Amino acid sequence: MNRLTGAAVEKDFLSRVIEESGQNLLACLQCGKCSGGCPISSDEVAGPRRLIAEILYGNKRQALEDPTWWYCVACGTCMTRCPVEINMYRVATALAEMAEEEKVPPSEPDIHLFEELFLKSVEKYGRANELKVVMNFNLRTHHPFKDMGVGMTLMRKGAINPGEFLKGGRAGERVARIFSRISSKAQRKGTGE
Amino acid sequence: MSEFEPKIIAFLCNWCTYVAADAAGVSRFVQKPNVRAIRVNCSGMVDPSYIVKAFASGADGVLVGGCWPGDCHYISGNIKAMRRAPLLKKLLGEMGVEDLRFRLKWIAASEPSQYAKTINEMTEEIRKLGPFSRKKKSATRSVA
Amino acid sequence: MSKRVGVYICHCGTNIDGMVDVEKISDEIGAQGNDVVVCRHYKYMCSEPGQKLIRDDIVELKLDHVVEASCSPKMHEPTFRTCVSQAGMNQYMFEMVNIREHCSWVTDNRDLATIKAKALVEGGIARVKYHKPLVGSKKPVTPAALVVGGGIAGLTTALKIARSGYKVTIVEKEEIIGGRMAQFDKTFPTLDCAGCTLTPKTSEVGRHPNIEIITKAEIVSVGGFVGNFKVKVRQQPRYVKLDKCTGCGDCQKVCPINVSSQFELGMATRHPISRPFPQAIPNKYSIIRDGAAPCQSACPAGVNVVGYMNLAGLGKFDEALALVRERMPFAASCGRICFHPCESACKRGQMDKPLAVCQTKRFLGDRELSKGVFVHPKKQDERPERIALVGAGPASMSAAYFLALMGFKPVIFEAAPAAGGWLRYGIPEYRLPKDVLLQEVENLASMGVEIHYNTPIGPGRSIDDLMKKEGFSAVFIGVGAQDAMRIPVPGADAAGVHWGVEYLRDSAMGKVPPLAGKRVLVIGGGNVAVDAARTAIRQGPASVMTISLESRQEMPASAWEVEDAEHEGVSFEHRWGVKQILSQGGKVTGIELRAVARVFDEQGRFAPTYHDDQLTTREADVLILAIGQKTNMKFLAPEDGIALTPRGLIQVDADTLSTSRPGVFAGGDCTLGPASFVQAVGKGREAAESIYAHLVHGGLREVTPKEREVPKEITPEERKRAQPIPRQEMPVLAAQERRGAFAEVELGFTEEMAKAEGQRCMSCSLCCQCGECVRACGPVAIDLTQRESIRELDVGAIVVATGIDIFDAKKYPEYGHGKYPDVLTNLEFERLCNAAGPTGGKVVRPSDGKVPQSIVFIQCVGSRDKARGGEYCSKVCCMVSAKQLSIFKHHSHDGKAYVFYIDNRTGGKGYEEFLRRAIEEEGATYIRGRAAKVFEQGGKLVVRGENTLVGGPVEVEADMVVLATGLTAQKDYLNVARALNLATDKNGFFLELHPKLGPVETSLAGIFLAGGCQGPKDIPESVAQGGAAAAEALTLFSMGEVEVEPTVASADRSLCTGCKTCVSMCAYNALSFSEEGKVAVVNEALCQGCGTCAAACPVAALRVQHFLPDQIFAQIEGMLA
Repeated sequence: MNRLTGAAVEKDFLSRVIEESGQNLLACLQCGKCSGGCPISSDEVAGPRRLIAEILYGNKRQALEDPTWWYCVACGTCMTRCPVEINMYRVATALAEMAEEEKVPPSEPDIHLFEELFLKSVEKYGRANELKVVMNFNLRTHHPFKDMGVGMTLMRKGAINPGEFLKGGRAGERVARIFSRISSKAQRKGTGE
Repeated sequence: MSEFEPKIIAFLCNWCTYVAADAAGVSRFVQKPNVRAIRVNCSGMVDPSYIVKAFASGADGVLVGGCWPGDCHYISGNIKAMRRAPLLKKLLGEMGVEDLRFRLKWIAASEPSQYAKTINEMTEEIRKLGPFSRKKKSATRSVA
Repeated sequence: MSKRVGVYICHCGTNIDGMVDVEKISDEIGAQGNDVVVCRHYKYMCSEPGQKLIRDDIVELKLDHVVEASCSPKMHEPTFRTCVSQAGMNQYMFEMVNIREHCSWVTDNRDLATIKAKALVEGGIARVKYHKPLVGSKKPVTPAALVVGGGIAGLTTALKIARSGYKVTIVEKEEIIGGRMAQFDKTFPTLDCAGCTLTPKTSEVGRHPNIEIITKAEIVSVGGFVGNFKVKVRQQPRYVKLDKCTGCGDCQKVCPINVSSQFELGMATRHPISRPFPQAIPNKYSIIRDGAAPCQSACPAGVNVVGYMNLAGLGKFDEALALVRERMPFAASCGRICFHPCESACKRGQMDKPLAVCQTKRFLGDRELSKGVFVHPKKQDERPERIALVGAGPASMSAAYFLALMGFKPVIFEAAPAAGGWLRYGIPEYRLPKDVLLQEVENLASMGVEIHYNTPIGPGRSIDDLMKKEGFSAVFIGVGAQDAMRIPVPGADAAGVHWGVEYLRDSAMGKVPPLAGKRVLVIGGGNVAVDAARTAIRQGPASVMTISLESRQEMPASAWEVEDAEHEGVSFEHRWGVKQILSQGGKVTGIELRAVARVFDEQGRFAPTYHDDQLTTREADVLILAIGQKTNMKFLAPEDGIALTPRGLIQVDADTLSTSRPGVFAGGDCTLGPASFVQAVGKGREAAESIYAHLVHGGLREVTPKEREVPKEITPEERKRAQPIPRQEMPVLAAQERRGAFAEVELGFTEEMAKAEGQRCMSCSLCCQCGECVRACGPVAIDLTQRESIRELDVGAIVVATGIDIFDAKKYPEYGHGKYPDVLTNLEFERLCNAAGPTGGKVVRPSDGKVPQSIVFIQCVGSRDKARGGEYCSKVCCMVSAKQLSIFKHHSHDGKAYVFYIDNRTGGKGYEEFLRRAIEEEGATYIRGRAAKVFEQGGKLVVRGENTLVGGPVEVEADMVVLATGLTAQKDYLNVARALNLATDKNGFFLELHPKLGPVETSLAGIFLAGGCQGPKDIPESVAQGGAAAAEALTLFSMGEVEVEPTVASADRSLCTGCKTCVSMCAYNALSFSEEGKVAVVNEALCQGCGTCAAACPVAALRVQHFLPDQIFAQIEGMLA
């Protein structure tokens, strides 16, 4: 149970999220129109409204462990309908970065893994080497043959080039610059873009 | 160390801007305490000589606040104020008054936050410019 | 002169003292001397002890100036002014300094706040020393009130003022009073029937001798000042006389038009003549008409096209023809030859094809001819005057028709053997058969019009003679333009060369040149040329070719004539001009043509240029040069005194059609140049009206204001009204049958076709003025000639109670309003419940009429939404939905109601209890979560949202969805605000003087607010405010007089240089220039004290009292010291 004491801890978390996301979460009416239309919300995944409630009440741990922002697909439905125009995606991004910094174990480790593999692929090859990403993911999640059937069909139809397994391209200068810029920014802890 | 506190004279029209200023007070919008307001019936009532007098008497900035065009209580007084402004700015420029020191702003009675914002912004702008001095010939000459 | 100033600084509890060191300022100012005799500070200066301090000091210390530093002068300046005047000091010797709203409340640093406050006080002290004692004039208050808006708030105000014995005028925009409440079924929390609670009030208002109701009216402008307002009101015509209408409803039964009902929010239709419900006040009918329809405006004769087409659509052909005859004497002829500008303007043409107006009119005329009757409006009483008309063409015949209706005795003089003018000798028979024309002429004669044939007017019997010797009181000249326009073409004198106009005339008279086997060339691009070609082709030639300067598109001939000509075998060549006519032995052999470079110049004038190096020739046996018509004015004698224009037309006054000789009028082609039949008819009527004015009223004419035109673009509403009937195809004579004879090509509509055409009309003007209701009205209460009128009212107080509008649900496309028929707004649902509504009070689905089993209410649609609606809460919707679901449950006991809400705002008396009953007794399920969307699945509506109390998404199946749309300002709130000079907040609601203490006052003295226009509220609050506003007005009336502030401009004559700059500055025309004194003069009654003139005066001769330059300068200096 949470006991609110007027302590700095609660206010700090809220102000930090407000600052880093640039969204005025205090304007939230808790009306629920966002979660009502959110395609990934369900009985298990609470949706944007509850996530904001967790932040407003300073429930830092709950917020950082809420699976909602992992499942978010940035469809924009919540933002389009929100009566106080809160950009939920930026809130999710702020939480993701905070969780990464504070090394909070991800509540959805599979999604976290996939994103890591994806970004590594982009960093190395300049693009998502689909074959490698999916194969790596399946291996690491202990389902090595999960998508083999689909993979074969795709290869047969020419949607995936099996040669990619060996080569896969090379990331260019510009991609490398992007990654170094982001990581140095993160190091400086001046995020919020 | 004492920071330079600009002195700004504001001529506020009785029907719109003065009401906005009152409403800003009622809503407790915090403002910089540098503005001294004079109530006039209409922004059109502000004779250019008042503005010149203000600068000559030690004001660092002058604000004239009126109703939005179309909403003037006296139908078109604010339009006349609007017409005087460019020429006045030119003359003031000749006197060494920088562009940012004199403002004509439309603020409706229902816009107290706009009033507060204008006051605060203007105060900071003028603080950066420093005190107004007639003797300062090197002041930027601006063409309005 | 020494000044004795008293300074008083208020703590205002801790409001000022909490941030400003009042004692410090008071001590410092008290110690500085310099005319300040005393300086005090006190906790609450505005209280009685505080004011007593001031009063006592004035008397004991002989103060002559007082400065008060406290709250805003807008709050308490009147309080302190009264205070000092009670002690014997002139109230203008007082100055109030605002150190609360402008200082203590907005500063967060005590030191800086104190410095600022002191500077402000110093400014006030410096200024007040220059104040002069001013005395305002007292003006009596007009003991009458104006209430703008007849809703529940306005009605409450009106009744309270009227019962106190004062006169009230209610100006209401709609046809009836009652406002929104008239649309409701029941009201919360009592579930009283809205009508039952409203109608006693409307009824009393309608009956009260002190109340006048002006409906269909709006405020244009307000002048004057408190107690003496001059209000301009614009009233739209009702077309029904209120004193005659009995409300029987016979009119509605016969009206052919159905339009969407605004009162029923588009869920039902109404006739243009209608009454929203049987208990409406005024309990009279009213006609809605948008203006003149485009067809009627386009007709040069002003025929009511919409009217007669709709009558034809009903099958009422007699009535339709009677309507035509009010403006057009020749239905059968007109329906054959008119160029029908009405059809070009017809809005149906924007959808599929325009109405076949011309052909329908022909049907009406032919039908009458076959019946052998002649319908015309009733002739007025006989008059002794005889009017002479020169020429028996359409202009004169039209003039004669209307003159005969007016009771005059028209006598037509025609030089030719038969009447008709161009109709007889210009238009060929296959377009207008002679016997049709003859019959129409005989009809004219049967009205008492004398026609003398073979009787030219000219030398020997001039117009002068007609007037002086033969006793005609007036003359109309309608000689037309029947001469051929000739151009000097080399070789035109050869045999076989004819001129178009003459060729047509000869043909009409039977003097046809033999054309069998001949090659015929017609030169020209207008209707005369095409008529000549089509006449020629019927005379058995070898070939007929028409050559025009203009391209096909540029040809002035009517497109359908050209098509018909081609159909009959005439060939066309374009963009060739005549160089010379080739002949041999005096007989024409052909023509040499040069290529046309351009026909019209940049300004669109006829100025052809040629490529003289590109030549060609064509062979011909007969050449017809049909290049135009011109007038023949040879018949005019010098003593007639008729002036001509440089073009050779008769000069007439544009309005009266009078020539240069009084008593002689002219119209038609002879004044316009070659124009059209229908224009001639129009001019004939105008001339008849002018002759009437000239003879009966000595030239004075009553000018009826023209109706405005409806918008030219077709609206979605009109498209919905349009019946899916295609334009009727006119049956025509087969091409091969046409060539040998002059039989009529177009065979005419049948009854069914005319009826079908009439039903295609969308009645763009709404009421088409067909006259069916007029005929059905027993008490003769309908007057279609009514027009917009302006009235002036003198009142002492104005109460604005213009009410609210509803948020547009279509701004939320995710809710499906307008997409799914079963998604309604609160107000639309209310209409379903109302017994006088579109379903007679049955709550059924609009889609299939079935009773819904489950209804889902979605709250906060348009409210509490900064992004897409208003940020504010509309206050009433929580209760409205609870009420409506209760009504639904009373109708359908097994039904189920759900409400998606965010909060339940049920703060009024009995409201929370009502809501609990809805939940606990009616069993409504309240789901906390703003609904995200409405969609259709498996034939059902589904509403999806989040159940925020339980967590997780939820979907509810619904037979009907009701959106609780918020309250907004009326759409025309800006018009009202501008007319009355009212301030509005950012949502369009009118601004009250103070949200806590002055909810019904405005910053304008004498103008008050009541009801929803000041902000969303429920009925009890509207009624309360109505009473409060009434009290304000009654206070003014019982005071009997007001003191007009003396803060007006005054001019110092000794300084004025007479530059007149100020005169143009004044928006109130209060400044004038005196020619004798050569100085500016101020009219103090009109001056509002804005000061714009004073600021513009280069020599400061103009000043506004109490805002003198000395005072302002002193204040500036004091503040900056």
